[in-house]
Amino acid sequence: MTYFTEHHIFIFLIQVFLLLGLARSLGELFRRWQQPPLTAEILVGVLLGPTIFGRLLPSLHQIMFPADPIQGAMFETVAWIGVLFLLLETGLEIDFSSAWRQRGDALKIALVDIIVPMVIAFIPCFLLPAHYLVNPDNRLIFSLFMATVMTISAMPIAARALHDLNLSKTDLGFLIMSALSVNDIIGWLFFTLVLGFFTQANLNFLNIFSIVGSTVGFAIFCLTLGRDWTNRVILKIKTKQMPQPGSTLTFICLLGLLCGAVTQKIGIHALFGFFIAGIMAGGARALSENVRQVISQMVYAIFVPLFFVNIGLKVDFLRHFDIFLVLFISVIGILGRFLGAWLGVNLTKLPKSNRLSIAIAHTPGGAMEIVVGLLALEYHLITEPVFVAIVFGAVISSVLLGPWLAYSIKKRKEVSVLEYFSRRDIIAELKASERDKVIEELCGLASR
Amino acid sequence: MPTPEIIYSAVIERENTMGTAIEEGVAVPHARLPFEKKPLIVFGRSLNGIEWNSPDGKPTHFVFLIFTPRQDDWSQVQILRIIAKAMSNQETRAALLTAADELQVWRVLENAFTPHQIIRKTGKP
Repeated sequence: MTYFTEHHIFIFLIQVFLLLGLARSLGELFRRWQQPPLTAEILVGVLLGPTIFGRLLPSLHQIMFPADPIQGAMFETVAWIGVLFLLLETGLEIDFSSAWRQRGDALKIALVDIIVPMVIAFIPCFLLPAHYLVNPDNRLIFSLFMATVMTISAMPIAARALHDLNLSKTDLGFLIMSALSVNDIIGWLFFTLVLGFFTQANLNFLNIFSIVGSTVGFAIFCLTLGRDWTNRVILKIKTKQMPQPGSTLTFICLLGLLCGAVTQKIGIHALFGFFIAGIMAGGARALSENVRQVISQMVYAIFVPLFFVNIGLKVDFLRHFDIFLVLFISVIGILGRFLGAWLGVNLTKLPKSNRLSIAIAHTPGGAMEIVVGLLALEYHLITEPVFVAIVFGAVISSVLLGPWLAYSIKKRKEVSVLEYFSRRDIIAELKASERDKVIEELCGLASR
Repeated sequence: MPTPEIIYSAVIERENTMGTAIEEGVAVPHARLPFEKKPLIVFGRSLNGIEWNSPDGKPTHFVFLIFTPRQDDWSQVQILRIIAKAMSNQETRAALLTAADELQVWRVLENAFTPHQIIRKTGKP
């Protein structure tokens, strides 16, 4: 049996201290520049990994990041916990009930935004030269996978951009998030099925039927009965006055672990289980906004940076950089998602002024594109140059989102608040002390 | 403006779909009404604070109720953006909490929104 030594623990602590400290500091700097922290986190990994640090100071790099399997496994485990919780948090941000209520427009946008990017990505990926593929015999599954990667949008990045532009509480922001929710659910479902088929040693009709049946059945169960039970448990935790947010946090983590174990057993990845668990908990009315924020902050402050830093530590970005692939994946990704959402939004009755903003909000690949890319790399479905190109494509599309969305908002006609607001429309001291009563009191003033 | 009951149910329906509390004690409940020609904003202040399920867990002190015409999607986006931007200023929020009456509240809000006022060209004299 192999045990950790004190030296392993010492190196692990130094690694986490250094990587987390640098990733968070640089991430905050990037946030101030209106850029996603994801870029900073990957950059820290690239700087301290084999790309820069390992190339310039190999002996010092070996001391900090020794090629010892135990040492590697320690950091790898933490990074994996990071990505599992990232999926849990992404699921939490999905408001399934609201998306379902908006199913007309949201579903139209989401479905077209899945089909169009898939078609746009599938054909050129199928025609890629053989030296870019792990196994040219697997060209079909590779193209199918790449087509799926191109459909998954970066919901957290879009949510952040909407928040920064003060759009998150508008009907426009709400519709964007609903369409992205539907897009993410279908995209992830499809991706996990493709991965599930690929990892099966013997793929036959019975196998395919079993994986599809159990995955869809599990998802339907979780999004109906499961969601209801989750809401009841969270409500119970609240009414029993158990310590908050700790008790709810523990329950949501347990739910993630349970669903992750179930999906792993079904033959699809545990990530999908965490994602579904997040949607179940996120749909619970009893879950307060404040608890959601605590979970989100914990995940993004500690776990997610370590996961993205780890990507830079694993791959030599200079050695595997291929400008053709980077441009190819960036262009088909951004173009496909933009065009998909644009065509989808044109099927709705939404005003023309909002269509461009909705289409732009769907363009970033972000963290999710990198997560699915890493899974494919680990399953030897893609080569390292393709993975590096996916990372670049995801970062480029995320960096573009903020300025592009801001531009689409600014070019519209301006509104002056003071034109619609006067001294008579003010209550200096509301009598009511509950939300609904306050709204009633203000409605009384408005209709005077 | 339709009756208080009609506009109340429109606002509550929207509020129950997705809460409108934002950070730092501000809430922006809103609805789009079919018969309205132009937007209308009313404001209420609660000194004690109201539980509004806000993302930062803080009680809501400032409520902007916003009505926009159903066909005019864009006004709502711009109004909500301007209010969120103006209310992100800590000095504005502090001044609103200490304002003695309606007139003082109005002056604070007027000052807060004036930088976002649009000066329209009236054409050649």
